[in-house]
Amino acid sequence: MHKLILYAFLLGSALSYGQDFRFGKVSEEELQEQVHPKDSAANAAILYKEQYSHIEYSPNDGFTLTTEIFQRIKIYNKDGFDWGTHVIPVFVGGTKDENVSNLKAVTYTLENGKIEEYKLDNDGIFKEERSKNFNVEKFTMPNLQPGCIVEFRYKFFSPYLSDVDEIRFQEDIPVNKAELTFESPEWLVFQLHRKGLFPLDIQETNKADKINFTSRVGAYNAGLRGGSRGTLQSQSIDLMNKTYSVKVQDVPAMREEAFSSNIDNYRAAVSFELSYTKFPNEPIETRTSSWEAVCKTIYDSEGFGGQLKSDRYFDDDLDEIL
Amino acid sequence: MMIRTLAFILLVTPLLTFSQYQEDFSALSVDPALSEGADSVLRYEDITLDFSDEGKLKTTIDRIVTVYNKAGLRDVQAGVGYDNNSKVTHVEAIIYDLIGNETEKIKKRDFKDYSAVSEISLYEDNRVLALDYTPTRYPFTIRFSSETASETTAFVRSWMPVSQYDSGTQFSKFTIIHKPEDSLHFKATNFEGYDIEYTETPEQTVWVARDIKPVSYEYKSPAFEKRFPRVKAYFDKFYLKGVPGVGGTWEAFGKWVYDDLIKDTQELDAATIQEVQNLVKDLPDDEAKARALYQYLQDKVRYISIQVEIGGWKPMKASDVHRLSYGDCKALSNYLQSLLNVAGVKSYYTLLYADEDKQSLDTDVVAIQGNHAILGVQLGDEIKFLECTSQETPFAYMGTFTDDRDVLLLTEEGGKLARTTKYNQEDNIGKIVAQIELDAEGNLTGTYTETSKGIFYSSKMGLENKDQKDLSDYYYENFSGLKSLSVSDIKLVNDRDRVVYEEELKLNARNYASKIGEDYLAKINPFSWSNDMIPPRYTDRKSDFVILRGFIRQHELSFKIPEGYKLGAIAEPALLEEEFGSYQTEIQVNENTVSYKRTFKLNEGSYAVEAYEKYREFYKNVVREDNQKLFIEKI
Repeated sequence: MHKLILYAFLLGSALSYGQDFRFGKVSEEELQEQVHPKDSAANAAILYKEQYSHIEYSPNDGFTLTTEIFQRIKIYNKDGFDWGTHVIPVFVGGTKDENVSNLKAVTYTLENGKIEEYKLDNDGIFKEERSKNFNVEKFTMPNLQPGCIVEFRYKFFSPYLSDVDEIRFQEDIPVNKAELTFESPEWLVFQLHRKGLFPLDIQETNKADKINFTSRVGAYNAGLRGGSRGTLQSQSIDLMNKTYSVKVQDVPAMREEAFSSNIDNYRAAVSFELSYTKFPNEPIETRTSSWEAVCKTIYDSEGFGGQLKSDRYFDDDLDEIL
Repeated sequence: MMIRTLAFILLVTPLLTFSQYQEDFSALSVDPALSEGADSVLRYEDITLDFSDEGKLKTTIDRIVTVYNKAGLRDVQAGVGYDNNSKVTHVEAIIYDLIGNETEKIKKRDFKDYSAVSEISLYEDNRVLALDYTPTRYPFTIRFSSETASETTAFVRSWMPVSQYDSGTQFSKFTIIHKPEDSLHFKATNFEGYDIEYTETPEQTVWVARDIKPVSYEYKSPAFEKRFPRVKAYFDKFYLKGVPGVGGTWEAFGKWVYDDLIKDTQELDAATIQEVQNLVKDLPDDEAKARALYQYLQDKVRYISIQVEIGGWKPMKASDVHRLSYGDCKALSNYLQSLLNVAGVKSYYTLLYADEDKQSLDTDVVAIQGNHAILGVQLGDEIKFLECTSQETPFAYMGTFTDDRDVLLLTEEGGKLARTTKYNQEDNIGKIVAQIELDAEGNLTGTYTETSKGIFYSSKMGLENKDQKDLSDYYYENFSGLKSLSVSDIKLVNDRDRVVYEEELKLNARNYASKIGEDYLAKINPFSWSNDMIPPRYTDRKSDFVILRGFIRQHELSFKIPEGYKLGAIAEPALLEEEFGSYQTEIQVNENTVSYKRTFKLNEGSYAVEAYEKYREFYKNVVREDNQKLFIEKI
C-alpha cells in the first residue's frame, strides 16, 4: 500500500516538473533560471509563443481574420529589458479598421522564494496614431527585473485576408517552443510560404464544419403601395475547414551579422497568401495563383495601376512642347 | 469732389501697405549676393506671436522660400506642430514656378497628419501636419502659411533671421503682440554687422532684418545660435499647457516649478520608506547614503519616456516610478530625490540642456529652458550631480553629455543657477602603455594597456557588456593602422569608484615591418595617428574655432628589435608648441630596446580664424612625427 502511494507521489512530482504553457502558470524553475541552457549569451528567450489565426464569417463583415497571440518571455538581464516593450502595428482608415483587444499582460518575479505578479495597467498602454492609415499600439511591462518573466496575450482582428502577416519563429534571442495554428474555410485557398533554414514541422488537416447565418428572403419595395420586409430565413452551409499546424522547438537565436543585408530574410518564418477563392456555384477567382494573376491584381489596384493610368501629370509640360 | 478724393484714397492705400515689401515669387529676381552658393533663399518671412489673449498664444507664420536644389528643401519647413493643448487653425502652401506663376495650391486637408513621437520616447502627444511635396523641377518657390492657437505661452519662439546654413535671407519680420501690462523682456545677440530695425510700443515690438548673405558650416565653428543674430523673449508670467506659471527671476521661476510641478509628486508609501531607512541605517554620512540610494536606483529602474500634456514637464509620481520600475529623466531624478528625502540627504532637482556641445541655460532669459533633468546632491559645501537615467554611470560622473554648463537648481528658497562638473585637461587622460617585440620575420607581438579618465571614460563605459566578437571588432577598428591584427586575452576593468577604465590585451600583427633587402623598416609607434586626424581644409574660412574640451593623449612604449639586428639612426625627439596645444616625443635607446614616450595635449579655448591654418599644420606635424620609422639593420 505504501509503495503504491510512493510511486503515485513520484509520478505526480515528475509530471509537475513539466512546463505548463497556460497563461499564469509560470513556474519557480522558469524564474530561477539564470542563463539559457543552450545559449549563455542570450539576454532573453521566448519560452513559449502561440498563435491561433482563424477565418470567421459574419453577415456584416464577410470573411475576417481573428488572431489570438500568447507569449511567455524570459528576461535574463538588463540588456534584455527591450523585450518588455512591444509594438503592434494596426492598419486603419480603410473600409474597416484592424484592432487589438483583450490585452492582458503580467510581469512575474521571484522575491524571497515567492512568485510575485505585476499586472499591466492602462498607464502602460499607448495608442499612437502614426499617420492616416497606420496606428501603433504599444505597451511596456511594469517592474522588469533581471530574471523576470513576462507574459502577454491579445486578440487581433483584421478584415484583410489577402496576405496574412508573417509569423516569425526565429528572433535574435532563442525560441524554446512555438506553435501556430491557421484555419480557413476550404473556399479560401491559401499558399503557405516558408522562410529561413530551420526545419519546421508543418501538418495539414481537414475538418468538417458548419456556417450558420440568417438572411432576409422575399423583401421588395413597391413605392407608395408599400411592400414587404420579407421573412428571416436561417441557412446553414456545410464546409471543410483546412488547418495548418506549425510547431517548432529549440530554435537558436539568429543575431545581426555584418555584410548579410536584412537578417530577417534568413529567420525561420511562415506566411500565408490568399491564392484563389472558390465559392460554391461560382467560378474560381484567382489572385496570386500564378505570376499573370499577380500582375493583374497589381495593375488593377489604385495605388499602382491607377497611378500609371493617370496621364495628367505631364499635360502642362507636353502642351509647351507640342 | 468728395468721391474723387475717396476713390483716390481707396486706390492708394493698398499700394502703401505693400510698399513695405514687394511680394515677388520669381526665382529670377533674387539678388545674386543672397543666392550665391546658397541652397535656398528666404524671400519673405513674417512671424507674429500674439499674447494679447490671457493664457493663449496665437502664432501666425507666412514664409516664402525659393529653393535651388534638394539640400535647400530643409529650408521649406512646411510643417506645423501641435499637441493636446494646441490646434492648427490654418495651414496652406502655394508653389510657384521659376518665373513666379502659381502652379499648385495645397490646402489643410491635403496636409498629412503624423504623430511626432521622438525616437527616445515610448509615447508623446506631439503631432505634426506636414506637407509631402516632391518638386518636379528646381528652382521653385513655396509660400507656406500657418496659424496655431495654443494654451502654452511659456515658450516664446526665438527669432533667427538666418534660418539655415547656406541660405540667404531677403526679408524677415518678427512681431510680438502683448497686453501693455505684461512687459516684454528680450535678449538680442549678434546684431553687429546686420541690417536689423527694431520698433517698440507698449503693445507691440517688431524686428525687421534685410539682405543677409548665405553662410556655410565650418568644422569646430561656434554653435549656430552663437554665430548669428537672435532674439529670445520672455514674460514674467506664462501658461504651460493651460497651467499658470511665474517667471521674472530665476528664484521666482524655480520656486514655481518646484511648488507647482515637483513638490506634490514625492510621496512614498510606508513600505518604501521602511525599505529606504533599512538601506541607509548603518551608513556613516550623507555621501555613503547617496551612493547607496543611487546604486539602488540604478539596479531597480529602466528608462521609459512618456510625455503627455503637462506630463511633459511634471514628473511622474515617485510612487508610480517605484511600482512600475521605470520613468524618464524627470521621473527618475524626482524619484531619487524622494528616496534621499527619506534618508535625510539634501538634493535639488536640476534643469539643463544635455548635449555634447556644452549648451548652457541662457541665464539672461528667465524662461523654461532645457531638455533634461538631473539631481544635484548637497554633500558638505559641494554639490555633486547624478545622472539618473543611466544604469551604468558612476556616482557623480557627468561625461560629455551634461558637463561644464549653467543649470538651474530648484531649492526650497527658489531657483538658483549653478554649474555642472568641468573636466579639465589634466582630468581627461587617455594613456597607452605597451611592451612590443618585433621578431626576425617582421611580425609584431606585445602586451597593451589603455587607461581612460575623465571624458575618455564615457566612451569606454559599457565595453564589458559587448560579447567576444563585438569586442574584438572594436579593437580591429581602433587599431586600423595595424594590418593582419589579432587580439587576445582581453581584460577589462571598470573602476566605477575612481571613474577609471582599464583595458589590457595581447596583440599580434603580422608583417608589421617592411623588408628592405635584409633589413627592416618599421613605424616606431604602432598606435600612430593617421591623416584622418587632420582637420578639414578651408580655402577661405570665415569663423573662429572652438575647442570645447582640453585633453591629453599619451603613448609609452618599449619596442624590442630581434636578435641579430641593430638600430639605425633614430629620429630626433619632437617638440611642437602652439596656443591650442603641444606635442612632445622622448626616445631613448638601450641596446636593442627603444623607449618611446609621446604626449599630445589639446588646450580648451576659443581661437581666432587666423589661427585655423596653424591648427591644421599642427595636426599635420603630429601625424608626421607619430609615423616616424625605425631602421633595423641586420648585423
